[in-house]
Amino acid sequence: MNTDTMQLLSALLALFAVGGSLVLLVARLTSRRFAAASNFVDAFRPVALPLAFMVPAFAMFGSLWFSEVANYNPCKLCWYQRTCMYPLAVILLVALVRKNKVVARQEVTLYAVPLAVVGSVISLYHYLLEWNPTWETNVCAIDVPCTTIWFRRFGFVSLPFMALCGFVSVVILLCTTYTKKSEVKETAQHMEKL
Amino acid sequence: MTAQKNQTKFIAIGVAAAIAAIIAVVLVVGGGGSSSSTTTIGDTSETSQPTNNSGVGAGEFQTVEATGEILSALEDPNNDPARGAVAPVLKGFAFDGTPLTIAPTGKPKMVVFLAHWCSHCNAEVPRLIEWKNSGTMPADMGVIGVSTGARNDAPNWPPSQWVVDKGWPWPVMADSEDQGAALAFGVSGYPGLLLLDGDGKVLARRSGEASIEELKAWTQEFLPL
Repeated sequence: MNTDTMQLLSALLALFAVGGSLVLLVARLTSRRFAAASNFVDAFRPVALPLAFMVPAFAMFGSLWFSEVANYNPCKLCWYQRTCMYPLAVILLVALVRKNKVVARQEVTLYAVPLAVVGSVISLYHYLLEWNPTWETNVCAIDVPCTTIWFRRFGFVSLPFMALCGFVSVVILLCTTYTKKSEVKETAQHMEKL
Repeated sequence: MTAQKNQTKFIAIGVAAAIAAIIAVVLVVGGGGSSSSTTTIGDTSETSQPTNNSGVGAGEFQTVEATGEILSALEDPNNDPARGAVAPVLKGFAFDGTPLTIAPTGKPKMVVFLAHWCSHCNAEVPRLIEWKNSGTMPADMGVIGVSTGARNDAPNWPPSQWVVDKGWPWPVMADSEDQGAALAFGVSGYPGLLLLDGDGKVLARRSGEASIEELKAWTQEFLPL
């Protein structure tokens, strides 16, 4: 796979992830009004965790590909985003392989969402910095300044934008399908009986 | 319950199908090249250009020979230990292979270190040109650019074309790939500016964008009247 193809693939997957997540968010927000939206959210719940894992897993693979294969040296802010994204892939994988999915989803939300929120704030700042390079400093660092734009697909999809899509998707996927405590208790009791 | 399970299955299959479709389309179509990236990995224009009379080939990087004590890296421009030190003499080449030297000439000189991919350099170059065109630049002050930190995977490559596109009116020395000229002058960020007096002594150094007014004040402060 060449660099151009990887850029396009990762950009499309990022847009798909955030687009799909936004559809879920709209469904969640309108679930009290519309039964169909409520049914959609309920039906989505079992696949939310696998999808929430796939997003940072793809992002981790993509970021490693761009830095190790395409030789896009990560800047300081890229590293900060990595420190949020990579653990997400690991803790969501652990949640995914746990037996009680409902409890796992509820518990992992408490760990994953703060991490994803922090990551999305950094990504958003990095993305805005790309468009406003004078915000941070008026000097380009000699190594890799955070204002370096390796590529912009469709005129706006850059690396921090894709990271932002990933973090936002994880937040939406986990928050919109968050299970109530009572439901978790019921499931836990049911598991104990079994 | 069964209806919900079916719906869940439908969602899972739909998502998987959409991802598979994206991957398939990208693999079939390829990158498409619609990115604004200027990635040109493997560009070897430095070896494809003709050789000039001096025997040095044209290229985006050139060898630079620094003679003298190298300057410490600039940290605080207001408390610069290199001030008053004699700057090393740089012997190098322009992009086309023409020999260029940065050495004492009896007249003050401003050396401007520029990186083609640096957004702040891209903003600063037009200001320097405007300053020159306004006629308020010190008349006896020479200006020389040094293209440094060049990367063939970064925007505005190649720098030889970039300086032409930007309309840079002064000579440009091409730094070596290991940034020998920038290191010799202790450049710590781009754009990096040095003011040298006629004897090659460092009057002042600074990094980063500056307005014309700031540059005027800076040169007036340090250049002997």
